[in-house]
This record gives sequence, C-alpha cells and structure tokens, in this order.
Amino acid sequence: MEIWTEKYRPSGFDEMAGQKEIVKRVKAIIKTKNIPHFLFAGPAGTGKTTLALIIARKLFGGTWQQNFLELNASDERGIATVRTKVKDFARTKPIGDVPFKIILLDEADALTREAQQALRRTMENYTRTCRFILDCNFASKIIDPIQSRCTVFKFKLLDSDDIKEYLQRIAKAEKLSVSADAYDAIYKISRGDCRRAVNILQSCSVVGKVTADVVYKTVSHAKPEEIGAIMKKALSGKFSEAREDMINTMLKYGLSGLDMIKSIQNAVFTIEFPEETRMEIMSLIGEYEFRIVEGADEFIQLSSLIAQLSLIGKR
Amino acid sequence: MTVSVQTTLPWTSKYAPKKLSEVRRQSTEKLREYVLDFSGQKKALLIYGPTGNGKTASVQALAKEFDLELVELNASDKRNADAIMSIAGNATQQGSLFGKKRVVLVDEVDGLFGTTDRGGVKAIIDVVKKTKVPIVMTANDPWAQKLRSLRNYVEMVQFKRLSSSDIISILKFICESEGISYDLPVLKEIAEKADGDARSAVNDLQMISTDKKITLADLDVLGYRNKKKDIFETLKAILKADPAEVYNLNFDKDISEMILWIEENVAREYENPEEIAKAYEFISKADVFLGRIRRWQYFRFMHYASLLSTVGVSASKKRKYHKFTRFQPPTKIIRLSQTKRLRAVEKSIGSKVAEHCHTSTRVAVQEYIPVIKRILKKNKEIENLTLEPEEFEYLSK
Repeated sequence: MEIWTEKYRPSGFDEMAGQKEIVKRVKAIIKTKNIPHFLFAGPAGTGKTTLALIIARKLFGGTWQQNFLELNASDERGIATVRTKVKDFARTKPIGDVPFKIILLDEADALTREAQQALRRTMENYTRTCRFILDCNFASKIIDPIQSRCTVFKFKLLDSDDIKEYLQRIAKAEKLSVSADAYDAIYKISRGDCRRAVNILQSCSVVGKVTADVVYKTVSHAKPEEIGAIMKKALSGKFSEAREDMINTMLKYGLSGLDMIKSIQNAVFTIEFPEETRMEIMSLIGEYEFRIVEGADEFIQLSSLIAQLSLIGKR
Repeated sequence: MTVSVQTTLPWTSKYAPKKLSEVRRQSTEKLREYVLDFSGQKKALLIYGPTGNGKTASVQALAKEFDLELVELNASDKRNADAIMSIAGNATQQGSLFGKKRVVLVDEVDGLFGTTDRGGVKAIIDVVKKTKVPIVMTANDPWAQKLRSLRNYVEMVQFKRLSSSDIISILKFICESEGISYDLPVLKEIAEKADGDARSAVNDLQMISTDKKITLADLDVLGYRNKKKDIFETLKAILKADPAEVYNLNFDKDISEMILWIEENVAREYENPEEIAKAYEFISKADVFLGRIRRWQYFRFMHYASLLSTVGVSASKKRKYHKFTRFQPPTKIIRLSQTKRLRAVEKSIGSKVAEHCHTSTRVAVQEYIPVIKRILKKNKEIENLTLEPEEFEYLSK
C-alpha cells in the first residue's frame, strides 16, 4: 500500500486542486524558462509544496531531482545548517539548459528574524545560480526585505467542491465506495486542508465502504461529550479530577492545546447555562487561547482555565 | 604558633564516621544490605537528600568498617563519558588487586551536566547494566530532568535532613575531643545557620576555633550561608509559609521547571476554589512571560515569571493549612519520561515519512503516523518506506 498523498500528488498544473489564479500565472511564467524567487503563503494542505514540485518538474524535466533541493526550516538545526546546505548545493552548476537551480525552503516562518536576515544575504549571494521558493503559513511572519525580493502568492483554503472533486478522483482510482455524506464530513473535519482530507479518506478506506459514520469514528477527535464531562466536573468544583481527566484525554488522543480549546468551545454549547454565563465562559476561553499562543506550556494554561471554570461553577 | 599535621587536617575528614553505626539520623540498613549482599543485580543504589547529611560519609564509613576497596568518582573528576567508562568501567568489571571486595561510589551524580559531561548519564547507565560490583550514587535532587533515564536503573534511598540537635551533638563531640570550651548558644547558632548541613557546621566550627574557646562574637566573621533549598522544601516554603518570606527563597531549579512543580501541587495544598483559581491566574501569567522570554529573547521578563509563580502563588491562600501534604513530581515530567523511548521511535519514523511526503517531521508525526498505523492493520508494508523492526512494531501496535 502506498501513501495516497504521494501517490496522488498532482504532477501537472491542471491536476492542482483550487488556487486557479495562482496556477494560471505560474504556468505563464514557466514558459519563459525563467522564474523569480517565490513566497508561497497560506494554510497547511493548500498546495504550496505541490506547486513548487510541479515547477521543478516542468522546468527541469528528467533532471529535476538533481536541480532541486528541499529543506524544512523546522527540521534543520538553525540557519547555519541551512546556509551550509544551500552553499554546497549552489556551488555546482545546474544540469541541463536552465541556468539556475531551485531551493525550496518549507516552513520558512519557523526561522527567527535574525535567521531570516541571514537567509536574505544567502539569497543575494546565490541569486545568479539559484532561485528560492519559500513556503510559510503567514506572510506577515516573513521580514519585509525577503518579501520584497519575492513574488508573493497567497494560497487559500480549498472549498468543498475542490476537495470533493479531488477525493472522488482518488476513490475512483482505488475503486473505493464513498457515500455523499462522507465527503461532507471529511470536508468539515479537514476545514479545507487537502492533505488532511486525503489522509482521512485513506484511514477510512481500511474499513471498506466509507460513510459519514465511519469518518467520525475514524478521526480521533475527542468528542464534545468527553470534553463536556470534563467541563461539568470542573464546574461542580472537582478541579483535581477535571485536571487529571484533561491530561489523560490530551494524551489519549494526542491533542494539542489548541485542539483542546476548539473542543471546549464546542462543548460550551452542549451544557445548559444562562446566556450571560455562557458568554462569560466564552470570553475566558478566548483569553486562554491567547495565553496558549503567547505562553510556554499549554498544560499549565489549560489547567488554569479549568481552575477558573471551577470558580464560575461555585457561584 | 606551631601547626601540626593533625590540626590542619579538616575536621570534616578527621571526625567523619568510621563505622555505619556512627552515621547520625539516617537508616543505613539498605546501604549495608545492598553492598555486602550484592549478588550481581543490574541496579545501582542512589542515596539522595540535602547536602551534608551523611550520604558520602556513610559509604566511606561502610568501606572502612568492612575493609572494602572504595573507588570514587567525585565532582572534581572529569566526568565525561570516556572518563566514566575508563574509571568505573574497569572498576566494575575486574576483581580487586588486593583480594578485597570493591564498591564504586559515584558522588553527586546530579552534578553531571554541561558540555564536558556530555553523555555522562548514558555512560553511567551502560556501566550499571554491566556491573559486577555494587555501585552507590549520591544526589541532592534525584528528580532533576537530566537524571530521568537513570531513575530506571537505581534503587532510591532517602537520607533525611539533619535536625539542629543532630548537628549540635556532632559539634559538642568535636569540641570535647579538641578540648574547646564553648557556650551552648554558639553551637545552636552554628547548627541553625547550617540548616541541616553537618559539613558546613563542622567547617564553621573549625574556622572559629583557633584559640580553644568560642564565643558568639566569633560567629560574626562567618557570613550567612546561602543555602539552596531542595525542591520539596521550596514547595513547602511557597505553599505553606507567608508570602513575605518567599521573596528571598533561593532554590536550585530553573523557573520553567519550578513552575511545573508548583502547578502540580498547588491544588494538593490549597482547598478553597478561590485560592486555587487565584494561584492559577498567577501561574498562567508567569507562563505567558516565559513564552515571551523565549519569543523575544528578552530576559528581564524572568523577574515577573519568577515573582508571580512563587510570591503570587503564596499570596493566593487565605489561610495556612496545618496538614501534611504529599507533594508530587509534575505529571508532565513523569509522563514524558515514561514515553521517552516511544517518542524516539516516533521521531525516527517521522523523519523518514517527512522525507517521503515532502513535509516536516512534526507534520509527519501528527498527521501521517495515525494513517500509517491504520494502513498497517490491513497491509503488510508501506511502499517507498523502509522501516526498522522496532519502528514496524511501534506502528503495528
């Protein structure tokens, strides 16, 4: 069995799901056999890496792998390693008739501002022999001097039709039976992230026929009932038990702090409250989402949220 | 003044216990059994407790009493992986030259850190796994992060903090042996300042005993000893004492680790939800400052993180609880240590998948490993992915 995101990763422009405008422009630029540096910004699973791979294939043809270097900023140990790898790669001449090589730097927004300054100098040094494609989630996290040297494309989340069409293609090739409501369910859970959608489909395919029910059962979402039970415990003043349950739920489902916050948000609407209290709790949850983003340890923040809920319950 | 060899010998050595029975306060039964009845078990003995309460002294006393050959690795040695293998490695494999029984002492094992000791903990574990002789280690803080993996290979014995009266009786004995005249309040003062550390008390005594008579005035030359409190003492001080006393607390943990200990135990001590919520509010804000330090590399925020998580938490209680509280190590640290090996396997799978799927190790672990686990329920292998048996086993579970 192969991993489907790879087996069905588009290898040509026309197979790309969504991002029609971007694809159109890139396709036109490629025809000139020259490209600028690119900055692809957008959420996960919207085709940034895929488009970069297509560009390399189209430009270099059979020699694309020799002329293409893929680095992931979150996996490399600091800008020094990135620079060494870039240097080693850029030192030799490109193979074939295109006068430059391509370096894809994924998750570029994982680099600190200082590292980005260093990257900018590296880009300048090798600009004659190399083109950079930088991928990131938020363009705002990339320093201006780099942005100004790149053509910036903003990728959008895929809509339900794009996702459905793409999944149908896979289902057909794999001779997999998928019900209509399953597509809706997968779209809802994936929230427009195509990689996530394909992974869900493949996970479900192991069972046989894919239905909405199978989808929900397969995806290891802590269900609102479980989170609801934790919240009820907290609200009845059983802080320590609620905290313990929360830690266990997070570990059991491998949830991040933000996953928990999302589930807690949903659960708030399954519990009876006066609307005023509900909104008070909502504002509290919002505050703690902020603190998780700002803070260092999500366990601490979630425990504190539960402690505050215990207090509200006591009134 | 004539100075003989005898008088220049530090009293801490001169009056160190020579027999196990001379070791005060501590129950040394386990130590005696482990060393004398050692039968090749692949575990070391870890004695832990605050500084100067007789950990090292009791091992030395045991060796003296039963005429054992003692091989010591202490803080003054270079303790990188190579040094450990060459000293302890040999000592634990070969018999003694003199036909004596041998015991290896790794002193202050929690002092293993920094670049020169890189790999030290791992080297020690390797030695323990293969040892043919008893190995005794000492530590102040057995819960230190860096000893996490070692804890699986040791049996732990706690040595208690010495009380003031324990120390006073040691001091009395020395004064009488040396013919020094003393007032009891002076010895009391020394003992209190020493805060359970017999070694520093004896050193102080020797320092002021130059003319066979000691007075309170002599004590002025000795500055206050800035003791670092161990973790449980620190928790007690924060959760049980007045907040005003918490300002000058001197603990030997990084605040980002300390905050986990405080978070874990606050609800074990405080009972009122308002106190708990208030304390957590401070902990939460302190954590936000830690996040900002990391993000902006602006270390002055440390001040706020440290104050809020200690004094802030201490000030959140409405009353003191006069009860015994069993403080626990942080759940997070325990869980992480239990899952350490699994996380290593996960990461190595993750990096293979990341390369194949053009993504980061993090995404591979979070998004692909669950899919692969399911695929392997129905299929024997994943194309384009070469897995080691251990990795395969992890994914098939």
